[in-house]
Amino acid sequence: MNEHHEPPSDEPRWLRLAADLKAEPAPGTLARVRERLAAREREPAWVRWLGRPAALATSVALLVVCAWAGDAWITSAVSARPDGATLVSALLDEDGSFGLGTQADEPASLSGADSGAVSR
Amino acid sequence: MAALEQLLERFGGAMATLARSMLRDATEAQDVVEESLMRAHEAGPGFRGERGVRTWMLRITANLCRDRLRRRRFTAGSLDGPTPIEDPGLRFEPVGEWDERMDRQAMAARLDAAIARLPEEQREVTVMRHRLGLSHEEMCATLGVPLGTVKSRLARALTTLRQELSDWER
Repeated sequence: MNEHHEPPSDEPRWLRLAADLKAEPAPGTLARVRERLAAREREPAWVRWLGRPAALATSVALLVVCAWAGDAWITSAVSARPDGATLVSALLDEDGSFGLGTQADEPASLSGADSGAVSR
Repeated sequence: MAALEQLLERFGGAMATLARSMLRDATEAQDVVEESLMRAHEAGPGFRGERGVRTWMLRITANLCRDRLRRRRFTAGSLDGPTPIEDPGLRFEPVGEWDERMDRQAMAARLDAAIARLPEEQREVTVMRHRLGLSHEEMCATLGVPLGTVKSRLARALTTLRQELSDWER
């Protein structure tokens, strides 16, 4: 397993002792791996897909983006719609005239049949 | 499944050694080895053999070890990281000759403890180079980093180890 390279001259000799410690997989590894693979095969494909870290991270990111976008859209929609009280206030002058002039403000030549009704 | 058996037989030792050296926990390391084999089995059809099977297997193992270490840091909630777990399950099997006047096993254990205290990136390259015997090029392929980065990490690791084991230098 250890295909040891020839150590460069500047490396201390004691560094070779690092290779003295090694490990082997536990007994029964192959059987356990086969069991785990078989269990994974029994899961529906979409469950397996969701369990993959990349897929999970992507799903969460999409959820966050959609939530933010939805909130941004709702906020902008609400601010674009005129507030009812504000609209009424804008139309309603302080004197209650709705911005329409009274008879005294208009010259006589402009008065017609309708204004005649107003003037009376 | 026959391929799985081959992978385990040929590379299981290196994978287990890397995992236990990095995670310092025999149980978790075993889980990483099993998960690595499963991923290799699932990704097998896509393997193109550009870098060699050993490099590929160790890459999977190293990536899984990093994920576990990252998760440990997150759950430990500490900026310093968790204390290294001291049951890596590494066996002492001397390689090559040594001065019989020195207690080789004790020295190997002390060196192992010093390696365990290295930052993750330095520990990774040290284990790969000096425990598993990977060449610089193999390490670049396994870790997916440039040669300069590998050499730099090795140099920093060696500086730290020399400081820790300064009495051996005399």
